[in-house]
Amino acid sequence: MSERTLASSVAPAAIPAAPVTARRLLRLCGGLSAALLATLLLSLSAGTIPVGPHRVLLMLLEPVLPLPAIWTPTEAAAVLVLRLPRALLAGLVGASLAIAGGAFQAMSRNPLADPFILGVSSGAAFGVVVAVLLGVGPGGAGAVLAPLFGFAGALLAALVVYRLASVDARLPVETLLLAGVAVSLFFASAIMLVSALVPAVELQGIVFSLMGNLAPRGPAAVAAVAACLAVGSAVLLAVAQPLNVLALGEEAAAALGVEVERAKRVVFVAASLVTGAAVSVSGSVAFVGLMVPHAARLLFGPDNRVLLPASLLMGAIFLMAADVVARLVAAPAELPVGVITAFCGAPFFAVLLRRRARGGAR
Amino acid sequence: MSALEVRGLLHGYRDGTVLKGLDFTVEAGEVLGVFGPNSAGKTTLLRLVCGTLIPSAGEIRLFGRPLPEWPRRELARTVALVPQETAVAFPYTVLEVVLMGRYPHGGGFGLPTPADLAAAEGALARTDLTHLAGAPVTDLSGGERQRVMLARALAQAPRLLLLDEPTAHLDLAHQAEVLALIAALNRKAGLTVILVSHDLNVAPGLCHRALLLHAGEVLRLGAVKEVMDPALLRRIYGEAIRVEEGPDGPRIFPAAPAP
Repeated sequence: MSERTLASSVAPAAIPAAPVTARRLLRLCGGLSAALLATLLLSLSAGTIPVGPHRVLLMLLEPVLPLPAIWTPTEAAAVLVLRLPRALLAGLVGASLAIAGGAFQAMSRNPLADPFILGVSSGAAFGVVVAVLLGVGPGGAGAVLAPLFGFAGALLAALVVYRLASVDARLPVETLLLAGVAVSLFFASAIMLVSALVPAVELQGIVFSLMGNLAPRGPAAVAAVAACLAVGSAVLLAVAQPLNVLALGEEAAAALGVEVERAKRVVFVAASLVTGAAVSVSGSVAFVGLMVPHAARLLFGPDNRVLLPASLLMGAIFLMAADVVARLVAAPAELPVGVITAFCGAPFFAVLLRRRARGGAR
Repeated sequence: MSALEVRGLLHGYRDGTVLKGLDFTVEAGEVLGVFGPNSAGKTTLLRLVCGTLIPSAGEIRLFGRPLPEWPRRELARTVALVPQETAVAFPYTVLEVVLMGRYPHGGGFGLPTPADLAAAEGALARTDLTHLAGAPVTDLSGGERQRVMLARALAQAPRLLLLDEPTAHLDLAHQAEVLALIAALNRKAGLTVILVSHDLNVAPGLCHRALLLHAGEVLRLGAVKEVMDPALLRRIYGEAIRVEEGPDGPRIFPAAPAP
């Protein structure tokens, strides 16, 4: 047993651990942005009127470059009027939910956290319903007000879940999931109650649209979601390193100089902002915030300075691709994109839960 | 200069007083062992010293300066805590965890500088972890994780190292390894160490002095031999223990059950 002190439970790593560098970050974001652009072209070319990706590219470049118009007005209408706003919306919603999920996971030190599972999406949806009840319409100022109501609902739900689930300043998986389910059901029921009591046709439509689909929205709504995402993700990236240190536990992080409570508050507010804005235009799309950060962690490691930007871009790619499937699978009918993400996400969640139950806590 | 001066330190949680007026001093370059039974207030003492907990009353001075006057990050560059809990939430590599020790030295986004990498590599070498630098910390054994946490604290480049039960989850061989490392850090690098443990047997050969804490009060502070006094220890543990003279000092054992 003399070699015991040098023996290890792990084989020495063949590749030296590469810490995060500016160059690695740039390369990664560049690669994922290229993949996002490719997904966008694919999304714009796919549909009942197929338009080749190269022609889509020319169409997009036409306003800035003098190019011959080699497409028909019908094709242009399909790509630029019908598909482009929807693809952009899918990208923004996917990016928002994924970065929020990654941030919630880091903050709660719990890989099963996600805006949908935590009930934050339901809270946001309830906020949007309240906005409609108060007469906030879909256009004009409503494009800005609806995301803010979503934000308020999301923040409320996140705080309630956190309060319910925390045990000695920790968030055990069991209590977190149970609190998430309870809050989620509460807000879903509140939405149903409101829609039963208020017989407004408009409200019925909103409730349907909150089931997780990407109904067409005006440019003001898209811009509002983009602005919320920009602000929210900038704030989340600013706390990426404190969130890494938080993985050591709150006591160790505090002893390292991290202002733990402040970091948690920042995540609550910023992640609720991006979730609320996303839900105000798409309803609660399930599991994106769970699956995408997981995939990003497997590919690029858990460092939030890499994980959060990677989740953002991969979330946009994932939901844009899921939207293509939702449009094509039962064409000419369209499925809500939430159906596609739930079909992918529910088995994914089940596998994660089983793996945890068997003791593999990763 | 004293590394640490504690005067009239009193602390209570909502459900009662944990520390009832402690007075002691730790000299720079000293290893002080703080011992006592469960719930004697040992961990609370460490939390108060590293500033993650604010005392109800009393004064703590670090290197001559009152604790409340230390900015948070500067304090973290001076005092490092290795808590009992060594679990890491996500599969960070060993190097990534050790680099987290550089948090109080960096700013904002905290991309590692050459100085950070050098500090981390030095800490890995001293804890014999270089070969595991790229391994996910979640794949390691408890003993290896304990060493990673120690390396992380060393990368912090502290002047005072606080260790909470550093041998609690380790088998005998790993205990010996960690204790030897702490002794070496103290002797070679002059690091001041406060070590908290319920196991008095780690004291001989490692601690310059020992402090026996019982129910929030200092029962005795002095040389290890004075503290490992059978009569004194029986006041805490009753007849459930026996103390035997070993080659490098006394050892304490649980009494054998009556046949």
